[in-house]
Amino acid sequence: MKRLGLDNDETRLLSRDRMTTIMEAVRSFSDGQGITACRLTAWWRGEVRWARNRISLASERRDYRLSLTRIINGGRGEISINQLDDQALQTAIRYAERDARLVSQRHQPPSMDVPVPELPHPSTLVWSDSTFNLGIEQRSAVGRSLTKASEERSMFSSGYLECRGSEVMSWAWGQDVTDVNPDDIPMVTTPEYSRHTQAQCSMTVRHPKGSGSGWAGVSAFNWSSIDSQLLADVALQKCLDSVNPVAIEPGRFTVILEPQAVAALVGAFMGAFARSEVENGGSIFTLGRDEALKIWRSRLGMKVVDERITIAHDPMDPALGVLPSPGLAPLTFVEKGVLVNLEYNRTYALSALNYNLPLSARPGYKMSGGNTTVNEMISSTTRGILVTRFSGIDILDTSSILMTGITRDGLWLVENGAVTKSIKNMRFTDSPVFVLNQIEQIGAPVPVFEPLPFGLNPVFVPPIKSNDFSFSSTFDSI
Amino acid sequence: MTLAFRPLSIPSDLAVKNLVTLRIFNYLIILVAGVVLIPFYASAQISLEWPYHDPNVSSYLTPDECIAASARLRFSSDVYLVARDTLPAKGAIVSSLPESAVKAARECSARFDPHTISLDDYLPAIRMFLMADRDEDAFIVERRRLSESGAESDTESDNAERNNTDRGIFLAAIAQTYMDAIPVRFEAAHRLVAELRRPETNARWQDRFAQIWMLMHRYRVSDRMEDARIPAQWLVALPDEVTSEERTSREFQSRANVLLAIHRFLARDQLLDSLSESTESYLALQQSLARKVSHVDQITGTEAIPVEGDFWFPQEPSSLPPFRGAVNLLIIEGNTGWPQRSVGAMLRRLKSEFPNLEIVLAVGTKGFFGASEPPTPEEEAVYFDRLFRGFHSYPVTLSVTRTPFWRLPAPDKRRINIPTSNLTNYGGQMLLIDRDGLIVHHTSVGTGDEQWLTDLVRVLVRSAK
Repeated sequence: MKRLGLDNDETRLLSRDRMTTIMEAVRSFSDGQGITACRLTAWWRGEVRWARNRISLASERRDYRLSLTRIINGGRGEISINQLDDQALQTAIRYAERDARLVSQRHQPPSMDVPVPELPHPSTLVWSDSTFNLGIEQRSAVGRSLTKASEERSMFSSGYLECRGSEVMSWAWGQDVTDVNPDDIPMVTTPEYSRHTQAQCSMTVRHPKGSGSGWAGVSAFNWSSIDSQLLADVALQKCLDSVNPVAIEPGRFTVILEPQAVAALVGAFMGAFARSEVENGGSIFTLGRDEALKIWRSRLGMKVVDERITIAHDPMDPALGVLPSPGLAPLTFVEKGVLVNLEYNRTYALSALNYNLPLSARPGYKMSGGNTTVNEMISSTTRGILVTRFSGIDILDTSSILMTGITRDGLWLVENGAVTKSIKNMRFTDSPVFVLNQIEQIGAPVPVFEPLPFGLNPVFVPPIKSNDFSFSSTFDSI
Repeated sequence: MTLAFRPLSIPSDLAVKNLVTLRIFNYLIILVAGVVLIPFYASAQISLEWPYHDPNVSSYLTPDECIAASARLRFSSDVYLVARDTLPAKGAIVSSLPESAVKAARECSARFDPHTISLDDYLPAIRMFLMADRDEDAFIVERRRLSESGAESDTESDNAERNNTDRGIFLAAIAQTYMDAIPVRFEAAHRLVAELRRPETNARWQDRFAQIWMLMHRYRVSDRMEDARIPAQWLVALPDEVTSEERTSREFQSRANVLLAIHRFLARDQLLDSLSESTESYLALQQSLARKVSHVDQITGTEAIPVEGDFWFPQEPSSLPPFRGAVNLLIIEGNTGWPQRSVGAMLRRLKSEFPNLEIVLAVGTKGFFGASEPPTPEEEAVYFDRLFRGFHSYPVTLSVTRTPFWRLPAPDKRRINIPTSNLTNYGGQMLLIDRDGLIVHHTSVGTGDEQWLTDLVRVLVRSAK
């Protein structure tokens, strides 16, 4: 049994050359009819986790996935495998071909057979050797070092450090001429290859008596850009500063939201940019019903938030580190407070705009900011609350993005330009749209911790000082 | 601490004997335990068997619980679990309940006396007795319920009126129960609906309409067409039995189509005879029926406006349809999308029976087609031809109109179609047109009575010869 370039089982990922070899093997095994499309992915994940200042897990995981599609006489057969030897590849391609021929017995409507154009494929540089080369011993050493200060101060540190790598290659070739589609154009594409890394580090430091908690975390594609020791120091300091909180009466407060808290609010805001939902009514960006045209009008072109706010996404921006995806293009949602774009898929683009390409974005985004520091925000506040982050967020009403959640890991009362006391956590009930319309001061955007189960979700947001934020009740947990 | 392990060694003869004895004893224990426990185990399996056939109804205390027990058996029967045919279950509503369901209802209802059962739940009680084949007892409950709401027991006029209204509601509810029973209790339902429509019952016209219509529907789906004519006649008489205020209400007018269809059902032969005589006499009769139900139809009887098209398949006709001298069926695409596939099946049947029938399908371009690149109108027209005449085998002359459109200003840029003349004139309609270009009949695409349409086409085609 021939192992196609996989003789070294210690390899974390494949490589462009090995992937090409596998694709060529698939090509040689297919029977030559119709279209063959392949997508080969490989992923690796290494992590270290700790709890109560002790390493609890250090792991390395990896896998491959080859997805094969054969289109023969209008019929489509698909299979996905993670074994890449000759025999497995031959079996898989025979399976896909059998399914394609079975399906092609059915008379396919021509709507399925019209040529679908190849979408532009942006490339981007989101690879970091420092992330990929962080070995299990090094990760464990970093994990131990991050708990050291907490242990010395008799606090409990828990958290994790995770590095990921992934690569993907897509290739399609062939021609499928059928009775209903006699003009099929031969499909010859070049192999599309991309790879990315991701690193993330998050930790919570808690007081042994449960009277205080601090948190810090960040994610980036480049491990060397993450100052893990600084994160450990911040989490510890927040824990020490938040012990023995006092309860205050909930109500409307001026809040200083640290970037992680801003990301939680704006994340829900980002979910409202789907154009099809806006034009079905019921979205925050729906303007109203146009009875004459019998359509829902959107707020496109209208000011929706403070003019200091610009929210944009660029797949070519290495800092955003987004995986390339067909049709992905630079996209600005909000420019100087004005809603300038809503995202849509290709189906919407074709039917509503007669346009060939989608305007879609991955979850990552950058939000503009100012130059006010958090300390300056505190010093200019007569009475307000400093928020580290939010947790347990639920959207109560999609039409206004009214949401509720609780503060966590450090909440302080600010009085007369200084932090005066640690206060108990509170539940908030407010909308990010109101928050972004009540901005008093805004800081410089920084990367925050936004992990996703798969892929990348880099987010850059600034700290914000906003007025009249609504806290609805107190909450006992730290 | 050091753990002491006994080393494995080959046992002596004595030890072997002891071991053999011990093994036999162990096997005996397992055998006895198996004999004792297996039935329990097996019965546990049996108790989970589904569907179940013999419920213990002794613990069921209310008619609702008895109905549920019987219904579970009904839906556990092979009739519902085994698909014996792909054809529609015609006549299913007159078929009887499975014997197990009747038996359960009978056993469960044994404790209830129709003379003393509470009337608070009179409908479940009637339903339960019907499930148990105790129709006489259901009748007793029905009479008890109606007699307690009877006007004769009240002397004051306002009470009498209120009780009359209540009586109408009770009549409607009980009639519905008889019609929902399996099998349908036609006699009882017919008797109650007849009582319901009496003026002295003072029932709401909505209740009368609903129950009479349901009775007619039940007769029709049971292939009892002659019986169906009686409630049909009651329905067409309804406009004369309501006040003028009720007759002109929007709610009543919304049922004008139904009433007109029933008129047609009753006057079917008369209408077809008039059509074979001439289109004019047919239209006159049709209009007289429409007047009876105050139905306004601005299309039937008018001369059809020609169907336009920028692209024609298989080839451009010498004149625009409808084609003079032939019977035409025009299908005009509406705003809701392409004609349904079922329409294609009907068109193929019609074309097969009437080869000279000219069928024209008119659609408009939309600027997109499936997942293809946005096509030009010419390309889109070819795709439509492949879809309708190629893939779906519609036996039609296909007209594709270039739909004019404009776009909302940036940044919205949405395409807003300007209705084509086809859409403005007859969007979403299927029109039957005689050889002189007069519209004889029209319905929304995908709706209407195919048999009626076929009958009309047959008469028109014959008279065209």
